[in-house]
Amino acid sequence: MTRSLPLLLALSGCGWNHLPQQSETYLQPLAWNAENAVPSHDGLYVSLPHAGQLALLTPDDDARIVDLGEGRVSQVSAAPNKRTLVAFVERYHCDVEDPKEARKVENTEDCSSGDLRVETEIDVIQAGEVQSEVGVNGQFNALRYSKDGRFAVAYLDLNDPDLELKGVVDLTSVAVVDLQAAETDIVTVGFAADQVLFTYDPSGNADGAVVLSRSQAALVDLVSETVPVVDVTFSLTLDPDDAVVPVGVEITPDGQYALIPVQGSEDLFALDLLNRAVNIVELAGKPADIHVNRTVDRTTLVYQDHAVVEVLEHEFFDTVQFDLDEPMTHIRSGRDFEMLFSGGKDVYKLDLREQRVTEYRLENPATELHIAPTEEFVIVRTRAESGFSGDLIDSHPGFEVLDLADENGNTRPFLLQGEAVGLAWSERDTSLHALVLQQGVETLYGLDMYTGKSREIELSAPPSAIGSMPDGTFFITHDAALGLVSFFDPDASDDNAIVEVGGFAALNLLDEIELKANK
Amino acid sequence: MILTLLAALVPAQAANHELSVETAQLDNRDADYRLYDDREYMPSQGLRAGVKVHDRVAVIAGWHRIHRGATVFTATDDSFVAAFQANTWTLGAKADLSLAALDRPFFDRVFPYLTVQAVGLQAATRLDDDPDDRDNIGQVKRNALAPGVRATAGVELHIWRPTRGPSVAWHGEIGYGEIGRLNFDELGDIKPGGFAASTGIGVRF
Repeated sequence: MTRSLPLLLALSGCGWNHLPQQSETYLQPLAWNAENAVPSHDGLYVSLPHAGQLALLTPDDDARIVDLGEGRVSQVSAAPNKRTLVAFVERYHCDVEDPKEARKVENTEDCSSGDLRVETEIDVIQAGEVQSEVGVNGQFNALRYSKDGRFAVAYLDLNDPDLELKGVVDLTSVAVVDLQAAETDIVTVGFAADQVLFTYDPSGNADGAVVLSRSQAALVDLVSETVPVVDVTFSLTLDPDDAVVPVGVEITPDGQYALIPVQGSEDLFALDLLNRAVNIVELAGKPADIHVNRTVDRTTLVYQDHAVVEVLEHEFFDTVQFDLDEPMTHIRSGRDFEMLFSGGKDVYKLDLREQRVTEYRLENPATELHIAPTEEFVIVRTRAESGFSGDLIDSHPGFEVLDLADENGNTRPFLLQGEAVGLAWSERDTSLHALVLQQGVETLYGLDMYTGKSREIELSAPPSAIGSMPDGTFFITHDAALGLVSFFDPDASDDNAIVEVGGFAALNLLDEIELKANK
Repeated sequence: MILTLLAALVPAQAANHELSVETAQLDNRDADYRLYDDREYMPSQGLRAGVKVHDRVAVIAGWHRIHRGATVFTATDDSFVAAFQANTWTLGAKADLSLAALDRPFFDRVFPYLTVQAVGLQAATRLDDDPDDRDNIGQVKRNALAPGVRATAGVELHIWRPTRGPSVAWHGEIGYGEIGRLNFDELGDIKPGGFAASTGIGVRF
């Protein structure tokens, strides 16, 4: 046996060296999706588009398929509580009349396109297991959740670049999913509904949804009747030829008003949901961004063409205006303050309680702004300003740390090798860390916000995206065709800080998607 | 019973022992096999040996090696190597027919034959997204085993037949091979089978 072992080994293969590669093939779609991993308390859910399945990864080096049955997962999202996941699943049926032919059809490849029928289902997943399956009559590709995790509204996002319309599609309806009762109901709300906000009763339970579509807003009552019904529809225009495109919606903390800025207009629609009235508030200009702050019960608006920020109160809709040095285009919100930025070097903190604006001047133009979960710090990602002709700072991307306790407007700049394309926070009882992903760089930059200590985290493959798990562990997805995710514990020593889970994209790679029923 | 029937078909010249090198192919139209090869069949190379047990019947056994793979590209410009490596073991019977009784030139060198064999296919699939790294985490390997059966019809031509010593012969055959499903655990499965063909050259003694 010992003498024949080398021969047997030679016969069985030469290990991982010199694998045969006589041809080139192409895998469509991808084996796994590195960009849209969904963190939850159960682990990290990762889509496997080629297999049409969902994998669950955990830092203890485990990877398994979530048993969703035969079909293809098209979208996955997590409810705000990070314990419930909702997946859109397509189930396939082949409507072949001849029983003899039907027996030969086992999977979607065997069924001709004219006989293939697709049904969409919403699966509710908890603890890595499917808890309920809800059939949805229609095509939907996006979800909005209520904060209490009880309801979700599914709608068709026409801006999705991966959208493929199949068959006859109803563009005027949304699906209201009761995640607790595992029921779904279709509600007609208007053409091309694409924005949803929920209203809440005094106990904080979702009781309604405001759904915006072209030129109208519908208030859907979720709880009063046995099924969700449209309570009232607000028309945003009197002239059908004059299409009104809402660009956002916010609901005041008392749930009475829905504030809707409109594309290309200086008017702000304030829909009175209780008295069924439409108010129009004239603004200083066409708003670039809007946010309702629930703690202070104020709405903040910034404008592309006006160097002001307006704060709107919700009783009489009076505004208070603050002058800025340059127009701001984005709002990022804290509990009782707003951070304002544009693509320039100015950043502002608007303290809503003290009605005060603090200006911060960056070394380089801002690309994105992140508020720490503890709201003690802000990190602003910056880009290189001048290329090779500038000084060292101007010619490098980086990020700047703003200590919000410092009212003097000081910033702490950091330079990076590549542009910061992702940032994640890890908050634990006694620590706060930030992790920065740089474009084209195979290391991550980690910063302990309390001690100021930084570290470069070496990775085994180029990173694609970063995020954080509910327990404060970072996750990093990588450019690896068969799947690679690193779980990074920022509080652990270097030797134990990173756990890699790889090869999971091979799960079900050789499985055909079978038909749900071909009888 | 089958051997007796086959033996009764033909008189005269006895069957031979044989040892041949072969090249063969077996259809694999499973869509999942496209990951490894852009062709719908599995080529192989190997050996066949035969032992005469009756006038015109021999027991034959063979081993073949399948060694196919591809670089698989994805839409994100990543790639991985997918390798399909298998050993095929066969055991069965071959019954041939002598045409010497026709008393025509050259026909004494031609032997049509039939084979039927049991097949054991032992396969391994290896996926590697970094072939330059011997220890990367993106290496996935699974094994599978499946039985089958193969039946062919062919012709053997004795190319060189000295008065003493072994002959050199060529053979070619076509037929059908049915193999069970290769189950690679949580990766999925592949179902080979279909048209089978082989050709080889070797010695007869």
